[in-house]
Amino acid sequence: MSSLAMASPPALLVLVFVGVPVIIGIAYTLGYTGGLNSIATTLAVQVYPASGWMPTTAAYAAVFADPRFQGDLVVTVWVTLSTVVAVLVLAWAIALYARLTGGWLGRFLSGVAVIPLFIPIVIGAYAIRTFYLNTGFLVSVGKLVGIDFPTLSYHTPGIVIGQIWASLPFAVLLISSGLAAVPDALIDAARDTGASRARAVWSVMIPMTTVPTVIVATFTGVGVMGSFTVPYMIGPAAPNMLGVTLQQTYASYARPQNAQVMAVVLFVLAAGIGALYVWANARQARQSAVAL
Amino acid sequence: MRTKRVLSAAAAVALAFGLVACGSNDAGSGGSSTPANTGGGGSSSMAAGSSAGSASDTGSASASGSAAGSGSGSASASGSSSAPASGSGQVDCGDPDSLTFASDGDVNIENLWKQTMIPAFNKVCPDIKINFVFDVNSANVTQNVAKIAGALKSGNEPPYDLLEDSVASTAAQAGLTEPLTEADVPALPTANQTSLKQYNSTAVPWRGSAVLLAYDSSKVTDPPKTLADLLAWIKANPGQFIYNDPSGGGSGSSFVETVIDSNVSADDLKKMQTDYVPDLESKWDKGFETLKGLTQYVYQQTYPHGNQDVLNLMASGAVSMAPVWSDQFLTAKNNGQVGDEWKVTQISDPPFTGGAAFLAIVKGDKHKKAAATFINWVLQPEQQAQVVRTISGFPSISIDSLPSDVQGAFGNIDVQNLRSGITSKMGSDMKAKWTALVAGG
Repeated sequence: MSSLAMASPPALLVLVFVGVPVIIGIAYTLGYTGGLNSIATTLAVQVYPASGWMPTTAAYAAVFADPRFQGDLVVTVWVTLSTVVAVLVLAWAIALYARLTGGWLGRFLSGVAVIPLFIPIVIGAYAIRTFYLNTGFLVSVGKLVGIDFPTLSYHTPGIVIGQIWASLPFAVLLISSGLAAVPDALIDAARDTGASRARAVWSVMIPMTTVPTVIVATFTGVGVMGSFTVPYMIGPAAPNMLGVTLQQTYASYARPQNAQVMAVVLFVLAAGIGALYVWANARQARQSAVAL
Repeated sequence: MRTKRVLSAAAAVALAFGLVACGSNDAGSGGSSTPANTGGGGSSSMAAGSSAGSASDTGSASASGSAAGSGSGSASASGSSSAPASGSGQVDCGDPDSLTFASDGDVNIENLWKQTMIPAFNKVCPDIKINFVFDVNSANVTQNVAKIAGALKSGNEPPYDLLEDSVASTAAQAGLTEPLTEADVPALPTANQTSLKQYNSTAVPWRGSAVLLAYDSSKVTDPPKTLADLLAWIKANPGQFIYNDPSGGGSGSSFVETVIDSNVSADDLKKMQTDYVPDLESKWDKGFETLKGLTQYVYQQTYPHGNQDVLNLMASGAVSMAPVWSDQFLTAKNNGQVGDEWKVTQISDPPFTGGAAFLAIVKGDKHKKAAATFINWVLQPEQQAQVVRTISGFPSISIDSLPSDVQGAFGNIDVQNLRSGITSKMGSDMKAKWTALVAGG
């Protein structure tokens, strides 16, 4: 009971400052445009109000029927999936190399991978945009040696590069520390009984690093999906990721209700990823309970 | 056990939301990096409609312009009669008061108020304290107007008293600002009357700017004179022209609007400049088709975000023609960011749009008198000349009433009769359609 009392201030805070706005926001998408939402409504070009108490899904229908939104949703999912896969592969490669081989290259790689953590994202994104422009370093050097590199800035692949750049440090830190926690004794034991190095990685190291891997995948996925700065700075005018479209729908197109619908869609997708995370944690907890 | 699982699921949902929310905080900071609204207050003032202003109306517009000129005759007589002392003599400071002044836009505007105008005003009226707040790049205009609307609705004191630029025009459009008369602001008849009518005197134009066509005179010897010439030039010179995403800055927005307007009848255009008429948006289709056809000819077949990105491309020599804001271009040229080979001209049939930046007082404000005193002071010839000198803005009062050293600042460009744009709601739809049909389609 006393623990409940201790947890209640933060719980209340979350409820009031996160929970209530979420509920009001969701109510807005369902057509409750009056009351606390009336000020957003007065500044809007168009809203889809509910008739009386019956909620309406007209705003959802309008947003989902918009080809722009469909294209942006595809881009958002595509960028999120490619970034998560690429970040996992890169972070695992760096962390494994540092764990198994070590040496100066291992330390160098894991050191360099963490640097973006200390560079503000706006500055990093601007630098990436300039680097991959048609007048940028990559294309210019390519021209000199006779290779035609594509211009990645203002194109979707450029966004993925920016997202990887921004997400990699956290991934490397987490997976490195996960691998460091695998006792040498277990790896040595596996090798002593004749397991190859690949076998030791597959059967010992990967299972013991599931939780950090799932954390990296889910956090990267949610973070990338809701991002704004990287797609805004590096991406094309359209189609772009939903974070950019959402901001433009609110500020430039003056359609707050449509923007709110997009926010709900992002929220549902993020909650899906969150559920994955909870499931993985619960599974891990059950397994360790059995093992102990 | 079960409750624990429910709790952890709830925690995960909260976590997921928190991260998405972080993303949108990110959006806020990223948004402020938008080199968006500048010049005539960017999108919103660009888009605001007025009764006079379409190409066919030039005659009547210039008539009202000259009326404004004659009205300013007396002010200019006393203004030019001599030094700053007479300038302060025209302003009656009234009772001691303090007020909160909210402005927004690019850093040049912030510096103008903070470093030049407000210190000068403090010397003239030391008893009026001005608390200045600035919203960089107009990132929070919608929220700030919502705050004012909320305060007025609930009967609380609004957070701001005096408004300038996008926040002023957006609030005036929403009917949240006080109508002003000559009794409040004696210099009101000298201001640009066409722009003053735009919001029925609830917002006072204090400077103007227009979108012009910039060209590299070392590469382009004979710049286009009409819109049709310009479109032909773009197709004949692939990769040499650029305009920015209309959502990100007014210069690109003006180009898009001008192409669209050229395919709309004068009657329909007039309705779009004064009202929100979504039924007429089908008339834009032809213009958007033209714009879509241009994508293959613009630089890199892609569109940069804002006005400043276009200036950067000009400065690096990547393009040789682009629409630009008059004030931003002249300032960039004065400080050497773009070279001397760059020149500007205005096209015709139709010309690019332009507009005023406004000062407005929140409805029923307690500090109305002090705020009106400040507006009156800004409209004096000396301050108007300062606007020309510091940010290359067009004066709101007749340029003939300014000190002689700034009268020739704009060459033969007409700074009084600007072609006004469609209303901001029509502009919102235009931007959305552009993104869907031209950039994304």
